[in-house]
Amino acid sequence: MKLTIPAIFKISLSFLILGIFLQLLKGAAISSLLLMHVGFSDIQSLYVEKVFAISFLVLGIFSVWRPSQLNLFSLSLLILFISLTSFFAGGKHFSELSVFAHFTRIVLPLAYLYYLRKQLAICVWLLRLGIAFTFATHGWEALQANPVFIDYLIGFFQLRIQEHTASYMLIMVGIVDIVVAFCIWKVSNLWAIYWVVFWGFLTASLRVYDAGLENFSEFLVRTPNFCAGLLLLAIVRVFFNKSEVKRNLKTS
Amino acid sequence: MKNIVFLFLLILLACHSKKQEKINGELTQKVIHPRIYWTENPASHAIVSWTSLEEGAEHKVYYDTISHNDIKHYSLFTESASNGKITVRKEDLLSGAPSAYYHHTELEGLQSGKKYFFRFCSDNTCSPEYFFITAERNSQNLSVLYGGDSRVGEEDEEDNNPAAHATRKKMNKLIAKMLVQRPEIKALIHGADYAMDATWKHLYFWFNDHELTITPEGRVLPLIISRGNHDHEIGFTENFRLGKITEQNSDGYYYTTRLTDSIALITLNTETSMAGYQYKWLKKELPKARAANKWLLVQYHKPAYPAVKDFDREDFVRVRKYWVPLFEENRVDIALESDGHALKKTVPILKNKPDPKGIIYIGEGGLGVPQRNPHPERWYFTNGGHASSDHHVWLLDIAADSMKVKAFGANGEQILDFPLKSKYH
Ligand SMILES: [Fe+2]
Ligand SMILES: [Fe+2]
Repeated sequence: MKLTIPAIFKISLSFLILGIFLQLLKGAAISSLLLMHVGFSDIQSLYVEKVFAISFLVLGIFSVWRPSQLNLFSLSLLILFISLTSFFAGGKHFSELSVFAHFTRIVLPLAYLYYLRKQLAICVWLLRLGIAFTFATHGWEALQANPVFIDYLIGFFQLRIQEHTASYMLIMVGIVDIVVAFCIWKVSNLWAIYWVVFWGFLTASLRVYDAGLENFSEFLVRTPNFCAGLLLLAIVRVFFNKSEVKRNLKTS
Repeated sequence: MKNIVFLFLLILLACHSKKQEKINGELTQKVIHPRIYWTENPASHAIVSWTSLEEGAEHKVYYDTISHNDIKHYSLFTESASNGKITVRKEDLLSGAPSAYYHHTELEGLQSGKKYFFRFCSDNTCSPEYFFITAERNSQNLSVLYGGDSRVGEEDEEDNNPAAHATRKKMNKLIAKMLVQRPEIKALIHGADYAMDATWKHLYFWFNDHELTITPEGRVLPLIISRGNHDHEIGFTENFRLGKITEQNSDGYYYTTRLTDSIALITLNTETSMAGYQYKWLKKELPKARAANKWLLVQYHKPAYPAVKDFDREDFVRVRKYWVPLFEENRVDIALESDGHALKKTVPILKNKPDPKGIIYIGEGGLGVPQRNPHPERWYFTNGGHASSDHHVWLLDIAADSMKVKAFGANGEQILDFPLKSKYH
């Protein structure tokens, strides 16, 4: 398959759908909420979550295979719903920000929809919105020294750096993330998009590097973080010169 | 001159009415939520904590080794070291939790193995008399309870909702009953995830329910606390304040408790960096603690060997990657874990394989949280391990060379029982 824009959309959506499906199958926030808040038994809540996971997978496959307004829109809504369940279940660092942190994955199906409708300006706008929210949220978490990020860094350097060094590095990372989130609004800043692709891929891979190949679903759900950059780059390169992009964005 | 006298009278009047107001305030002031925290040296130190419904100006703990009717007769008192307003939001007030203040008083220089009677006072309002017993320094025997996960799912946490916290209350009453039946029990090690989250609308009711662990004669069981993934909010550091342990390093809450001269418990924090300062500290602390103690226990919230959740989850992987090799190298006697919401006991594990020389991991959270269905088929539960869906509290009866480990269900029935030999040599 040639790496065309629709191909990138399809691959990243497939990875995302598979990743979310695997996470739901292992037991996620939906079953936790049903058990803790609704009063379902553990078996019932896991059952509901599995049925949801399979429905999500079917819808996902259908959306990639036969994309339509209805199924891509529903897919975005379901991903938003899943992020909201993590928000309500809590119990993770910064779970209150999960919807913002997951913005690239939430907007990806919608961006594909507008791409297919040839409303490129909206497609580009959505991708940038997703990247901006996801990067700004991660930047904020990095500035707050999210201990999970600290351990990724220490793990990456195989215990050869100290926690305070990791904290300083996170401040740099946080500032860069937030700067990128702002710069992504200016397409003329191509370097920001390059960075999104590079950094999105690196941080998604770090999850697998740190916690083993068994955690590849963690990588899969983060494919939109770099694929959104890749798509932005491809769309800008293929369809626009700079002035066109600016014009398109103004009309959107 | 007349004007000056008038002004003077006016000021006097203002001062008087202010004083009156303060006295009225004191009269309505309430002090609730008695609790004791043990940290590093429970033979000589304890933190007495409580909640007051008004700010007050003076907060003190009066204490003595004999009981008194009158506050004036206590031979000792200590001023509260840490006082402040508890973070309360509109939704907390709507849930029925009142705005309130926290108080943490450090009692130092206590005598080992002694009964201490105490009352805590915010201004003129004092609590009834309670008592607790300090750790016994030169004892070879010790009984302690271990349990975790006392959060509940009910949205409506008001006390008038009979369904709310029913099991948590039941478990707390069971703890009080066990304490009456077995007065040798010294403390409750709590594996964390106290409430849904550490906001006041949840913690207020948790502290209310915690009062049920107090025996009819007023004995308060000291808590040795850890921090869980539902305890991230500011309410945790406000209400579970452990003096310098809370502030130290990146996020605190890891420390060694010298339960006796020969029994130590290391509490770790899975909610801060596991590979950073804490790892370095643990690497130094474990060999020291092992060399000095016949029994070495560890507790932390997220499990290395989960009974319910995915084995490969990154937080569990991290516990196994950074801490477990240190536990094994230093021959930890038993590991206490929480978070999963099930009853579990692993086979002895060494280098990620069953091995009679390895460490047994027990847990995994049953102090009232809805129980989940575990995976008894996992390799670390077959041939001698156990995993089931049961509310429970663990009792560790430690003697010179052997330990009896028992799990009791919500009705006080014994579910599990196994012996353990010390790995000290
Ligand atoms: Fe937990
Ligand atoms: Fe829990």
